[in-house]
Amino acid sequence: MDTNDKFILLLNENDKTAIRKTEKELNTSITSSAELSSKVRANDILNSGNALHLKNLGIVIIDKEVEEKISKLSLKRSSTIKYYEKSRLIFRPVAELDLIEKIRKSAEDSLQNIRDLEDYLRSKQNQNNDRFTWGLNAIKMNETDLDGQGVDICILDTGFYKEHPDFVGRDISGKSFVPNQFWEDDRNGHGTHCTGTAAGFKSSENGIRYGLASGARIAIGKVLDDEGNGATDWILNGLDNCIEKNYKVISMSLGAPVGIGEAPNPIFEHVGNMALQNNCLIIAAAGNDSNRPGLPRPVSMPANSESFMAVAALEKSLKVADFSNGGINVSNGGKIDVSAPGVGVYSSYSPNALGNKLYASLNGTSMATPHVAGLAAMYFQAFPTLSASDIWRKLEKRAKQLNNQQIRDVGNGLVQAI
Amino acid sequence: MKRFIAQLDTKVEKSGNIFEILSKENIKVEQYLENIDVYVLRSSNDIRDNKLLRNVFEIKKEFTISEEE
Repeated sequence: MDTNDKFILLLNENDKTAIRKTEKELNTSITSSAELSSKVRANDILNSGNALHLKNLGIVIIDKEVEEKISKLSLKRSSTIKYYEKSRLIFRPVAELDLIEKIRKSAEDSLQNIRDLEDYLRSKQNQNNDRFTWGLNAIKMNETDLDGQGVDICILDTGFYKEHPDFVGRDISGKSFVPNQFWEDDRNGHGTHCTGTAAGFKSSENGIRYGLASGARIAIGKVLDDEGNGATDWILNGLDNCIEKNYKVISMSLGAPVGIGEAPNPIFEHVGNMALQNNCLIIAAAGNDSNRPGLPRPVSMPANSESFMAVAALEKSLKVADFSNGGINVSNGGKIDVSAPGVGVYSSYSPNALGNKLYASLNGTSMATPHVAGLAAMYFQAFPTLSASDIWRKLEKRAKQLNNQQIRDVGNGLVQAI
Repeated sequence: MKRFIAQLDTKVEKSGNIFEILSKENIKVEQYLENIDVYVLRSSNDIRDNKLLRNVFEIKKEFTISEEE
């Protein structure tokens, strides 16, 4: 049925008499809509040549073949027809479908754009991840813009290779507390490696980022000799200097083994508390004397002091490293506080050391410690009004808990960037 | 001569000239680290039980890098 082939008649009266009269005048048969059912539809009636009376509306739909008769009847004074018009295409379902189709197409285009953007961001993310060491990815350094700007971070170690190409233009100061040895040539390499992790940036060798607080001011304290060993007074001199200079973060990747049940050295406990009172956080390596799966050895001195933050080492699988010491002497305070990447850690190195190289991958709680120190500098940057004790708590609170790892071994878990 | 780190007993801290007092005990003050309030001392005696001092430890070259070979 074509809508344009019909006329719509509005009757003056909506009763049987008017219907019969209209039928007679137009010489057609009008079927009431009361006859409609699931078997008899409006189109069936209209297609059979009958008109349809919509009884509830007083309207008759009729074929246009009787147009002339309708016109004449409507002009009669006694006409039953009040008004008539040709059926019009008021609703345009096809056009609406077109519109829906356009909207659908637009939505699909948008969806495709979202997919493309998503793919782009994922690939960019992967590229970024590829440009960080595994350790920096693990602590979410790829998701932060903080760099420790304005914070002084001190590395108490074997010194630092000051001519390293990755540190050109950096604000670096230093002092040696080891008789007759200098802080700025690092003939061991260990100090340059730890400094690189804590406060370096990226490798000029391969572009991989290995350092955390790349905006921090670096202070070097040589407290270990070129063989990597240190006397108590050298270390205490280094710590005294840090407090004198008001450094915020001290990284100590060194230690001396202690026995099971051995209490922390009260001098270091006292020094750690003095540092905290001066708003300085000391972060120290837990030590590497263990050989899992056997019972781990206790946390070394000075990390076993409660006022020092003790750091354990993790493998890439985020399992505690076999060598990493554990919280065995907890009753004396020697617990692990947090853990950080400490196996296969790539960082800067000193060409004055054995191997004559600018970079090295090393293992140890020594390598985990500067990860935490670098983050501490970034936390101080982010929360400049917080105390060192507050920063310590924040580092612990934000650490990622590690499945299937004991608190004894990993403390509060893997430290995380903010 | 052995070298020690130590802190002064709290009573001694308030008792005047520290160097003079320790000198009478045959203890030489090599260095005072004022920011951490720790003394580096030298003596031919074992001063670990000296009543003028507390937290006395003989200085050893016992610390080492925590790098796993």
